Amino acid sequence: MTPPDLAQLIDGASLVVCLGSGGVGKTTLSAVLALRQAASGQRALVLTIDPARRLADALGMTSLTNDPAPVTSFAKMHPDGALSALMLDPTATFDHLIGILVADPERRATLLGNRFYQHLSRSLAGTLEYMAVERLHALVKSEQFDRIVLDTPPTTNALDFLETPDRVALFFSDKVVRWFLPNTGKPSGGWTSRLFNRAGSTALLLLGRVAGEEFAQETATFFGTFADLLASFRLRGVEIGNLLRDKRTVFLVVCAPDHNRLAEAKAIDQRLREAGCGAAAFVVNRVDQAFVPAPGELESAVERATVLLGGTGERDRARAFVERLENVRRAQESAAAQHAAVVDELRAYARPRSVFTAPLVPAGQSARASLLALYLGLFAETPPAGIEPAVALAKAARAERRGRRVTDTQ
Amino acid sequence: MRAETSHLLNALEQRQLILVTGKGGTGKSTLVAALATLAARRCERVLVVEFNATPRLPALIDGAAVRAINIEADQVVGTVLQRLLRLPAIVSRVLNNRVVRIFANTSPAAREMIAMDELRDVVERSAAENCPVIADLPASGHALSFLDTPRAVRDLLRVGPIAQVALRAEQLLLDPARCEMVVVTLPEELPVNETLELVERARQLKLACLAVVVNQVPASLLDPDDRPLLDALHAQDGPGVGRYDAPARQHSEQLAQARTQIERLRSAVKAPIIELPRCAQPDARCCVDALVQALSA
Repeated sequence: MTPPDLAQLIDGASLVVCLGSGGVGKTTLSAVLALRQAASGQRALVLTIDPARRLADALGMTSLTNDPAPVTSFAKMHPDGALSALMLDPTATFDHLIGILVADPERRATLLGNRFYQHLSRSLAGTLEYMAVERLHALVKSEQFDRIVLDTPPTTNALDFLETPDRVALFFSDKVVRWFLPNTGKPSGGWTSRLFNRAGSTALLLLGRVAGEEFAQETATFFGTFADLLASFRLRGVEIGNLLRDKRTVFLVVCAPDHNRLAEAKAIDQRLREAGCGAAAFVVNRVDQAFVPAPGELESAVERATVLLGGTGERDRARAFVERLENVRRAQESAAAQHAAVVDELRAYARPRSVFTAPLVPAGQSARASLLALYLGLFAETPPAGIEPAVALAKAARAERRGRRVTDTQ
Repeated sequence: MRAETSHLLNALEQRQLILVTGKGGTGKSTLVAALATLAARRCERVLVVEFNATPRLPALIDGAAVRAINIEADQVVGTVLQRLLRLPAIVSRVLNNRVVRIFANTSPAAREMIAMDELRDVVERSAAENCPVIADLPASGHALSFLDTPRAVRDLLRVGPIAQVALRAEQLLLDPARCEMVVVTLPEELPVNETLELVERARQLKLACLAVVVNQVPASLLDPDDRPLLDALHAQDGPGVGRYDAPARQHSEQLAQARTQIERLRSAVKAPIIELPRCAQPDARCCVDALVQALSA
């Protein structure tokens, strides 16, 4: 059996999680994958955490918000397909969550005003990851979308993200909160009543000793107010963990063709495997390619440049010019060779899993052109039905270049 | 040597802590290794610090003068608590209390604060021996959260031992005579966008920005007159320079793009901008050497 191509792989996945170190092009790739799913008739959503304007530009939108917004700039998609995009706003997500979970306005106000809560939701490191999984969970539950592509935060090791659900579950686990909770039946007892619980009082005193009495009390108040939410938070943590381990969830490790990124991609895969959900495939982005000149190709270029420059008197100038072009080609050739070596090494490591490559998109193009070029580079063999005139144009340009190459070498 | 570069190298010698950050994939670790090599020419000893699950710096540094350490919250929590509480009996009670342990492991900022206090301690001990510390921080967004941790923790706790610890870390980070930040970027649109945001947020946090280093600036393989010539050949009927056209055009676009992005940085950022050449070697060690050479030229 041949391994599935990228289109097959993502078409069957209800959740695609793109992981990789920073700067490898995860965000654009995520958008392209969701676009492909939409083009094949799915209601697809790309959930990004990258606040860069470029993705909004590429999708033809003025801005992205914390709510899924339809992407309408790709005309004539599949009749059943639709693409939506969302940019995660951790604070809004957290506040929204509290809005849903705490019905009583007074209790909600108390909670939103609690300093422990404010820091948890606004300024402390790790909140982005907490909220990304929370938002993901809510979207999956809503069943608004058939397919979700998640662009993960560029964490140091890209995998704090994976451990977050377990950490959330643990954070809100009985072990931590039991002794913070008011006694049932005596809700006014507050955290002080827990001082009569031996284990709890020890922990509280120790926490007070390390972090200050005031903090211990604020924390106790926070958990006290949170009492009703704990069960749902725990449940969410467990459900998210299950979702990430579901067989219709596909992890893609995205990588750039250099040795550092290769090592990081392997490390990410190792951690994924330890967590029981290894990468389904790898994508190496920005792989350069170079042509090898045919015999006489350089000479004919010199000839034509000589003519343009004004005839045989200019042959030396034309030769120097074409030699500089040849230097550019050689630099590209050596880059391409290095890239190919990285791809080969990753293939050997990944076997039997697939390693897909995406071409280097030339510099200086618009965000939208880069996105479409990446789409073509990845899914050239399975073009979606009339996805957009721009794609058709880009394809035509490619075909033309290919045709020119053929005529050149003849 | 250019004024910006010598300013940077002097700071390496005079400050206790140089923080290096930037978008992922811009070559932070390579630059940290190069800066450490240069600092070691002026100081007897230099320490580089990273906060990675998989340490990268040991493979990039060279020579007995530069030492590398890796700070991981899990590893140093005992040391940090020991400093905080002083009484070993209480430390072990705290460490052995399951509730406190889970809380410390899962509560946001707890791990960051532990790593931050360890960094502060390492810096103060190194400063006593005239050994500058160069920290290879996580990528921009995370680096800022990390650097903002002492303020956030102090805001949250106000009083108590941890608030004291946070205050000491904050005093180190915000003292421009002791600590400055170097931001690494690439001459491309997205990294420059992120850098402009990072520099602005660092200014809001009152962190001193020593320099912005533009890494991997491509060298031109073409003459300035070549582009019009290419365009003229391209516009003609017929094959022109054939397959040589596309790569040359791409190269020229890339150079133009790099210049545009560097100009954007220069017009928006007050800190000195230092350009460093792209290294074509696949070997990371060679790239460190190339940066050292470029910085000392």
